[in-house]
Amino acid sequence: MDLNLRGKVAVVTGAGRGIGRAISLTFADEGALVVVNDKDSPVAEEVAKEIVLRGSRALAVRADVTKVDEVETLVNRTLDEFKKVDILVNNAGILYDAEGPLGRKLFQESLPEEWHKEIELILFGTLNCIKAVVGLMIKQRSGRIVNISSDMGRTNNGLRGVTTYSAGKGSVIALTRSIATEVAPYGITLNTVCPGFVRATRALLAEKQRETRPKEYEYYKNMEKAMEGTIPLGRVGMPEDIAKLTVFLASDAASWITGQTYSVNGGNVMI
Amino acid sequence: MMKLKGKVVLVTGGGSGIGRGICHRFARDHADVVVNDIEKKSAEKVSRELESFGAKSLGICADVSLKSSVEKMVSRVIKEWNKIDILVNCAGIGRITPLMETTEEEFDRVYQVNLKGVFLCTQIVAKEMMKQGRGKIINVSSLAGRRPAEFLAAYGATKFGVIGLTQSTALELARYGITCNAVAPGLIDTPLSTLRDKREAEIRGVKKIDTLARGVKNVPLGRAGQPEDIANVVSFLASSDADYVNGQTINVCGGLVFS
Repeated sequence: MDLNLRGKVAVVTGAGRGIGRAISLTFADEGALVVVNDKDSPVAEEVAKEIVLRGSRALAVRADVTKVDEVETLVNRTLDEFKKVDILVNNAGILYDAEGPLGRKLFQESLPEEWHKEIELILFGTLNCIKAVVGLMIKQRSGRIVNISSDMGRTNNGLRGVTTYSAGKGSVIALTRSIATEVAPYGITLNTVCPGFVRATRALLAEKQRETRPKEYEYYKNMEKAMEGTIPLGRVGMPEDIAKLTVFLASDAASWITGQTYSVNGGNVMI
Repeated sequence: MMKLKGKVVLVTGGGSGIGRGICHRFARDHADVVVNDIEKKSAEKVSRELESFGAKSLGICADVSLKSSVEKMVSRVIKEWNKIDILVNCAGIGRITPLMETTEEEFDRVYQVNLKGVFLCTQIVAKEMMKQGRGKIINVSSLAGRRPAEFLAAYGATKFGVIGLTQSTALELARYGITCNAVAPGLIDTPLSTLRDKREAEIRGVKKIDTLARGVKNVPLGRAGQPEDIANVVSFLASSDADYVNGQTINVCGGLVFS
């Protein structure tokens, strides 16, 4: 893209798979130094290796973004290695369905103790990471933060069983606007990217487990087909589609953009 | 910046302000740029500027509100360069008038250029893009198309309309590989903003108004936008990096409005 990110340090959370991985690789291609964070060490290492193979520098750091002390470690290790943080991408997030995609509960069947998991990761994980870098960015009087939300945070689109996920993603849009207003005087921007339906981690996992969990594979395949029919561009999104806009927003080309929410969805939702 | 090398871009209203900034950016992206403007001199002047950067360029005088004029322009581009990859609908006029003083003629003219012009250029250029099986259309709306602004009833209505037209275009032309998005600029330092100040001072019966200086106080990022800020986003939307972005309205406003 030629965005002139040479020498910039970018921390990407949840970067071991899917969209976060694509964002990390795109940063690397633009010349940035990438801190690949994930809760799972091996996948983070894997992505860091990929980046090094492409001729860029990367550091894999295992950390659970819901834990304040682990986020601190993530930032400290970044500073030890690269001396600064120019860019933060809050991408870590998951739509929990431990019992498979068919296991989502309608809200009235859900239990209060089940609400925390998604909100904790999506809302508090994002807050923790921003809090940990924003002071540094204020001091250096520059910084770019891009938060990955979801179209589910803007519109429900007829989906059921996604209350806490949507609530978490909606809160990311709101916190982005609030913090953007507060830190704009320091030349720091925050924006939100909302992916539509993306063929990412879960779909690939379903593909892999095709033999052992055929029911889930069928479910994903059918869902994708149904989604394709509702997307004007006629295809589901790929992680790279999301990565391109994310990295653009982290560049100097977007220096006058802050507090905005942009969807990348093939035209599925137009706001 | 080679990603748009060899692409043919048509920018309406390219003779000044944001349109000129967009033309400059595309030239730096190594695209071939058709600079359209209703003022022949401005179109040709900007076209020469682009050539001085080493870009291929063509200045064409045309009135986007007249079907025959747009058809003539598009056939000339096709004759010269055989295709149109990217259309940027930037031509627009602003009239600063209180709602109750807006005349029918004034409303009609603003509508004809700002909304009907986008419709005509889109329809006529899309015919070519459909043959090519691909294309990118970027419409320049305004923050006045997202929320009301005083003395801009006609202008604002057309800019809201541009967003509606963008979404319909995105919906109907996606199947032909054509995407359509809008950008909504905020407070930008252009000739139009100077014009606005003069007119508003008259309406309010004061000596001088500096909208830019006054407005900038409300812009979180603390400065007015430059045409380049808009051009950067337009260039992104015109590239293959934005292949999956469709039907969206991108505010570029320094954080003035969140929507």
